[in-house]
Amino acid sequence: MPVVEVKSLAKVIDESIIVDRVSFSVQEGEIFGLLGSNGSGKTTTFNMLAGLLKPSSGTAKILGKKIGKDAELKRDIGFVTQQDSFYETLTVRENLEFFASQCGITNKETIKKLLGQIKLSTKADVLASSLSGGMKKRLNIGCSLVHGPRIIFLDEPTVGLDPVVRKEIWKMVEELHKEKKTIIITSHYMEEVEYLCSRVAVMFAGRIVASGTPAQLKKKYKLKQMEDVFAHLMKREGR
Amino acid sequence: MRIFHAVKKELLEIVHDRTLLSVLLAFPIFIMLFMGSSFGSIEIRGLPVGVVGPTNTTFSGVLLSDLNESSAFNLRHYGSEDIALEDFRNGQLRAVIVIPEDFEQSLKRGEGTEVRIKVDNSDIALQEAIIAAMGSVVQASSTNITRSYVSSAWDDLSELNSSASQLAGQINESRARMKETKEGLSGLKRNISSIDIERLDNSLTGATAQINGLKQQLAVQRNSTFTNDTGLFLENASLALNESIATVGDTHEKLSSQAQGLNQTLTTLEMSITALEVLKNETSDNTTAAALDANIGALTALKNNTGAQLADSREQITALEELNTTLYDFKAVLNSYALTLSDAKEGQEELYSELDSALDVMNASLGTAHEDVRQLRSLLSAVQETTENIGSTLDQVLAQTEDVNSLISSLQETVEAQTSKDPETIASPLSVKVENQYTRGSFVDFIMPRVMGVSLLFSCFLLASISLVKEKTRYTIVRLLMIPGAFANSVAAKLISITLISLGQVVMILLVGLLVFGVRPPPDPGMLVVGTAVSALVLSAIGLLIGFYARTESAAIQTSLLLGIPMLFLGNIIFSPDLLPGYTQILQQLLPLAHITNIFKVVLITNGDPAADLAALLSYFALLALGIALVVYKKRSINNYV
Repeated sequence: MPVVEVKSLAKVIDESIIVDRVSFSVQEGEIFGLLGSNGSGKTTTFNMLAGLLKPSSGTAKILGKKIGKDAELKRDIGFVTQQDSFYETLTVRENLEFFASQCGITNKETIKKLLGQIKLSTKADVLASSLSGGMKKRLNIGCSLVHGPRIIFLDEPTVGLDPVVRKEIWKMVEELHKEKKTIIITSHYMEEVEYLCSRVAVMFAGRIVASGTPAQLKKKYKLKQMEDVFAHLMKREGR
Repeated sequence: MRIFHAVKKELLEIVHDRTLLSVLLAFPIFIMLFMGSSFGSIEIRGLPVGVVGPTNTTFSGVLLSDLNESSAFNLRHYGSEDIALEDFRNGQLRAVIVIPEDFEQSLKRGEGTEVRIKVDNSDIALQEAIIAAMGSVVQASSTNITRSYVSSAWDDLSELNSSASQLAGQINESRARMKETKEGLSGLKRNISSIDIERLDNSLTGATAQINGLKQQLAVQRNSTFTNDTGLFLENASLALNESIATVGDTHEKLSSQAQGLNQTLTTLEMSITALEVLKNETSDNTTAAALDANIGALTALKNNTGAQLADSREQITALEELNTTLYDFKAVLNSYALTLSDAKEGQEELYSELDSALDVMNASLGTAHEDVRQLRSLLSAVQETTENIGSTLDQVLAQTEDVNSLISSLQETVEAQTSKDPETIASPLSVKVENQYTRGSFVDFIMPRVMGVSLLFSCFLLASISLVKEKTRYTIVRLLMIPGAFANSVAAKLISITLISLGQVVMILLVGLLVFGVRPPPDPGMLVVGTAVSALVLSAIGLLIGFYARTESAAIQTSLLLGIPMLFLGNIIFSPDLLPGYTQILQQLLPLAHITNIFKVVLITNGDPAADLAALLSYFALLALGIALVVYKKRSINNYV
């Protein structure tokens, strides 16, 4: 049974169609990738699924519950934004404690465990502004995990990072996957998608233009690399 | 060229930030329009001012009428200074005018008087404006009062002048009469000098001697026998008379018997004659008849004799009766004489006694008269002396009346000189005494409420707005929106934390004031905490609303300034709101900063009751909280923020 089920989901803002009737489903424990160039509607789709944006039409169910109808559904979702979203003037621990407290969690052990999970135990009392880019990304992911969500949305988690740090993030995602978390990730790094995702959907101008496992897509378009598949699809759609 | 591109980039950044651009465009236009219309003419109008003291007298009426007409003040009358000052402390009055109880009397006496004005010396601009406006009105009132007073005084002086003229005439008449009196006194003095008291005294001595002589003669007369002899004579006469009466009685009795016999004889003779005539007539004998005739004749002759005798007897009886009557009368006279003599004797004794007494009285009177003469002598001496004194006094009075006349002339000249002057030019009788209502440790005491107000205004505006903008620009708002209730919780937390920070700021301002500038500690620290908390909540709420709509920190700062600077002008920070035009005063009441400054002023300076301002701020906060709640609800989608 899919934990995420999207049917004809659409979003129109100022008469512009940002998301155009997308449909897909994600199974529990799966890592699902949404691919697309910038402005293809990936983040808007994420925002709708996370309950941060009201869809113009269509439906989406997460864990069998309709989005936007049940605020408590958010407690099962971890949302990692593309940009760092924590307080740079607080320490790593203070950030984690604050977000945990907002979710009703005050257990110090949980924070300690999380610090180990995001590999920032030694930096717990360092101001967030002093962290390196990779550390900031880990803290950003950590802040989304304080409440132990079952489904995690990662919006371009490695954008702007060097290859070493990017792989650190991949490792974190793999560890979450091992914990049976369902992960939906957006990216335009094809090797990242190929490495992490069991299935992908390619978006262009708000629409899903292709979907399947990376292997299926490569086979379908008779191309060896996902990058080539993506370039082919973009070319086909007129970009 | 590089600098050109750099400048272009800076400008484009601003142009592309619509909020910042609109603020940058609106700010100078708004500030210029606002400042131009608000401060084009700084004057006070309809300032609430309390009036204490007599208000229904002529001169206080002039003053209050002038104050009313000035339109600078909206006068409110109070029965007591304490009640007025309570309203003053609570911010309902800007000044209190105290008219002294003897205001009318002092002015009527021409002594001038002083109207006390209690001003809010914590607001220098307002204080100066009130003093200037009040001074101007009081000067005008003073002129009006002077005009009224001097006109009245001129009338009085003219009347006095007329009275003085009459008095001068009367004095001249009096002088003339005094001169006459003086001359009369001189005559009196001469007359007194001519009185011969010695002669009067001698005549009195002579009179006394004559009276003593009279007394001796009276004693001699008293002892004379004249009355005794007369009495004896009258007694003898009375006895003789009694004998005569008895004799006359006997004679009368005898004559009566004789007359009775004669009468009987006569009757017998008539009867005999009648009987003889009857016989004669019956007798025919002539002889007999002749004899009878003869007899009748003889009897008739006898009868006639007897009749004559009877008549004589009767005359004698009548004469005796008359004699008897005369004797009785005489006896009565004698008895009367005797009685009179007896009375006279008794009267004589009384007369003698009275005369004697009268002489004694006269003697005594003469003695008294002697004494009186002696007193008269000394009296005359005194009169002479008094007359001389009166004369010299009159001389002095005459001399003084000459002085009075010259004084009156001088007075008249002065009155004419004064009444010819214009009342407008005469000095003002009314002055203003300005009394500072509030004492202070230093002037910083008065600045403290403003410092606290400014500090809270900008710290709350900026902290709240920038804090919320940061949530947006750093995407933490996404995370908050993902957690049910976290965003509303965060907004509330911002309000509370900024309020706590504001309390800390106020404490720091207070400590610096206390330690560095020696300001007075707040009389009611609890109320300071409450006032600060409510103020911070309101300002932070406004700051949050700014933060909801500003996209960048720069826009938040600009918007904060756009709202904050007019509040500075209207919030009793730089300018007293009372000095601004009417519409800005209404606007001021609608903006929270004036209430915040008032609360700090009441708590730190006037020690009044800030309830009204607190109520206004709480109303604000209720509205703002409702507004924030609506915004949080309406803007729950992420695209409103990022």
